[in-house]
Amino acid sequence: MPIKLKSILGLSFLLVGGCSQLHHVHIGDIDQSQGTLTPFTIKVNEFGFDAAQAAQIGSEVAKSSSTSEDLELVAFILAISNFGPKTGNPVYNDAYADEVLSEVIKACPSKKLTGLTSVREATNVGPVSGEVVRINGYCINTTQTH
Amino acid sequence: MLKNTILFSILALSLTGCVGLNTVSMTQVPAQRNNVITTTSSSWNFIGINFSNAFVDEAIDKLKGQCSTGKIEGVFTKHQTTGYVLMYKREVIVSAYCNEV
Amino acid sequence: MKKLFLLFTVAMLSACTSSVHMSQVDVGSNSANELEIGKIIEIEKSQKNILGFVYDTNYVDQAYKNLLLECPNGTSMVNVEYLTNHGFLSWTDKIRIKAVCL
Repeated sequence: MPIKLKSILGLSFLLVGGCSQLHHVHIGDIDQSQGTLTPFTIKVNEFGFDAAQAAQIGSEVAKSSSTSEDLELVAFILAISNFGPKTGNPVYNDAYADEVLSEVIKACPSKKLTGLTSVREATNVGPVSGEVVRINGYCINTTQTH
Repeated sequence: MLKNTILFSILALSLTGCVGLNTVSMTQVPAQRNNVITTTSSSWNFIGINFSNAFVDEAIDKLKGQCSTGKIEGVFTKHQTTGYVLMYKREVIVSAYCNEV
Repeated sequence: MKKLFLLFTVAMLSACTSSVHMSQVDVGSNSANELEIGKIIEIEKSQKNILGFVYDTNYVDQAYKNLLLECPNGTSMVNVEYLTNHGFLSWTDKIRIKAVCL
């Protein structure tokens, strides 16, 4: 394939790839019987980067064949060094979603929660992405009776 | 050619029975845990091509059948896939507690 | 020099990536949540996987058993996270459970 065509294809891939991706959803019980509901959202995200894919794209658009070969080798090394199942792009911090539970607890001062929806999603631009864990829920506003 | 076929067959056979975990989920654990109920439901497919996910509903029905008058609590669910030669087994393994209200 | 830089970059980007597959938070009945929210307990279990050669997912059951032991009166909130740490031709699957015991 000519290099120009490869570059155009690579660029289109990057532009088209700028979209949202849903990986997993979990919807919990929703109790509307105890009072009005106030929604809240907890969102944590981390920079996702597929280095092997980036090197592969680099090798496709590289002008000289030696650079292209080098980058292909780099892509191969990265792929075998970061082996395993992937959901979205890999991240360099596996603890970015560690605080979601404590954040959810803090979200409702009344400690009355319902309708928790857990979403694992991502926004991708080619090999770069924002890997997101989002928790939506409702605080129950109970009416005080005297 | 024959060598490659033999090598591929050995590799495929050696991976037989390997399990991959898809998801895990759990609901609140109750204090009363005397009556444990468990169920599994699975679906086989050829090279990963599926036409239905009805095996999941089957697991729910089996679970409900084991606790027809009680409350099902502490539901722990594993969704896993086991690979065989060109065939895959998708499986939902559920354990829960059946408590009378 | 260029090759050395390349090698250094590759080494830096190798074998330290992770992937969070899911993180689920679940809350119990509201009567339970009216209680004071106490300490969050944390359980982590993992399984080393070389080229996919594993034949069970018992580490997940072990994590759940630990949760039952640590919360004899049940839980009011639970967070389950399933993630993978990538490595050289191998990886480690992990289950992290955080819960608020009753």
